[in-house]
Amino acid sequence: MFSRCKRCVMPTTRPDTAFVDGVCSACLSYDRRGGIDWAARKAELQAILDAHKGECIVASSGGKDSHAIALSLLEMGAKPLIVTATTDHLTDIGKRNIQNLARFAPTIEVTPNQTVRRKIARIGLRTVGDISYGEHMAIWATPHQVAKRLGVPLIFYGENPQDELGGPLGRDEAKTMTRSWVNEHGGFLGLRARDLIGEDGITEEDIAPYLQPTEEEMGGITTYFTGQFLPWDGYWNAINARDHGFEWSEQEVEGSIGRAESLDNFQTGIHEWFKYLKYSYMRPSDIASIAIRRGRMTRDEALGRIVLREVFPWTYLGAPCGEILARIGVDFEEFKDICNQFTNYDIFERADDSWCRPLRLA
Amino acid sequence: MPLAKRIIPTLLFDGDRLIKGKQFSGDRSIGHVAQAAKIYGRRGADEIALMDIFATPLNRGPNLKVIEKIADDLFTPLAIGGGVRSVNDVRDLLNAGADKIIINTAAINTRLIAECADKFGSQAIVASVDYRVRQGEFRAIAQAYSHSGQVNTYWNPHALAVLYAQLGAGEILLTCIDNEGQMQGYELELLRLVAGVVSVPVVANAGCGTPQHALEAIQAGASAVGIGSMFAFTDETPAIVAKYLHSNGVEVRLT
Repeated sequence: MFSRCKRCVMPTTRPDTAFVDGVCSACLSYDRRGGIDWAARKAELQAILDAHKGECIVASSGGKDSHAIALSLLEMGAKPLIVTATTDHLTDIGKRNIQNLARFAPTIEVTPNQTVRRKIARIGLRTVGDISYGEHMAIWATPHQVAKRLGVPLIFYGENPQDELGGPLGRDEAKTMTRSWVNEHGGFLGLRARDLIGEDGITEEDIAPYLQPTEEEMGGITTYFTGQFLPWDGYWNAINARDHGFEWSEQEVEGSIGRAESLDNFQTGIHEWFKYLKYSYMRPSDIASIAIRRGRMTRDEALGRIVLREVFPWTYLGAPCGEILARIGVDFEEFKDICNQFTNYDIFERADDSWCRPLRLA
Repeated sequence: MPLAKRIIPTLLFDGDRLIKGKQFSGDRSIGHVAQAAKIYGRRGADEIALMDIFATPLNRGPNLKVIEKIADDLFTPLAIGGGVRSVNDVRDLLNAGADKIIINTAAINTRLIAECADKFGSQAIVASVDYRVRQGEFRAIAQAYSHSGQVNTYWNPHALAVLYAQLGAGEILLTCIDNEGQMQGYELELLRLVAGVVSVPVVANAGCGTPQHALEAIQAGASAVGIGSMFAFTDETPAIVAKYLHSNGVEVRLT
């Protein structure tokens, strides 16, 4: 049944998250962070960079965290190449933010075949209730494929998500991201890139951009979580990025709180909505939990905001839901039906409008 | 033509949460079971096995509501286990849309397998044998466990499997608790022994980490392989395993 972490507001329904006496693993790992010698960690990072003459790739979405990582690494004397995997449905503000990154370092934007990408979004929505399925695969695969092709020995991602949002116990200390880590924790919901071959006319070639290079192919390339070396704070990253030309949304993002994240993909609203139908939480629970741990918000405040903000995004970043769906060839009636299929009726009451206004069972 | 060997994703759940543990710990909740079943239905599995592993330890029956929903969306044969206590439970589950019923705890020292096989036919009854191997004074000793691996039955799993086959079980599901979630390969010794003497199909379960492991189990006599962690946590798919087995001369259903 549905309940939340006693300290933050992370729901117990969040997949693959351990709770100890009602406290989520992210809170527990935040407790441990106070004891970390950050100066030593930073020196460790410096040593890694120096060993490779500063040559590295920053895996980027063009967002606030990508900005912050690139800026930190530049400060440490690295020569980062910024590799952006284009999102499913790139927004204008997202485009401007990717371009903004190019003011600091060379950038490569990889955009695989968009017809295939739309098919993947459609299949993802229909089969696993995840419109962003293609993006999940691309985020991991693209920087690794580029690193392999160009022979860059280092890749930097942001925080270890288990550290910040929760995961199985004892996994929050991983500093490197391996192929098996990605396969286990990458959010693939039991479906794999190769399962898509044959669906909707997708060929082996079509999914090549979404495949992870194997361990042998990756020989000599190491992938790190930057958040394990530099004290990580998404909000500080957002401010730091804004000071360097990163654009925030004019208004609070629909179905979320804050103006600094999830700005690059029109489909994010629908992605978040399916999180709600399946597990009864959206981005506000994530953001508020992070804020509560750092004392920027009280738990009561957070619960109030969640009630107001975790609602169906009829528009996302100004684009109507119907138009976003039409682009991937899903009509609204079908969408309602898909919503119903993925709603967890063990948590929600079944009703005519439960696809957009589900009531949580007491 | 020999019967095609089957690849069976095994999904463990607790009421409605999909879980994946190690050695039956079951502490990791990784999603919703109905969604997972739907996905595996599309991934080209020959059959799907769903086990509600906390039903018996918590003394509750099968969650029929969830199982009905799963069976509704699924075209793949479905085997259901967990919390089955009586002939009535088996009937309810079959009515809910299950094709096979997996029985473990309730079959120990009872005639439930025989009664169900008489009523519903052997093809619907899978007798499950969970066992651990421990080092005895002189040799390794395998012991069968019930209640999701929590209660030692002191049965020899080999004898138990043979008994179940004689009572009319249509299939034996052999699960080595020590190997579960380890992805280091199946326990082959008992598998070989059991498959060598019973005439019904034996499903090897627990431990698969690579397609090679599946091949080893089939070479040891398994008619089907149960795979959990590998499909959940790696990018191997049922289709890849089928292809691998096929390329090694094993008869499989290719999608």
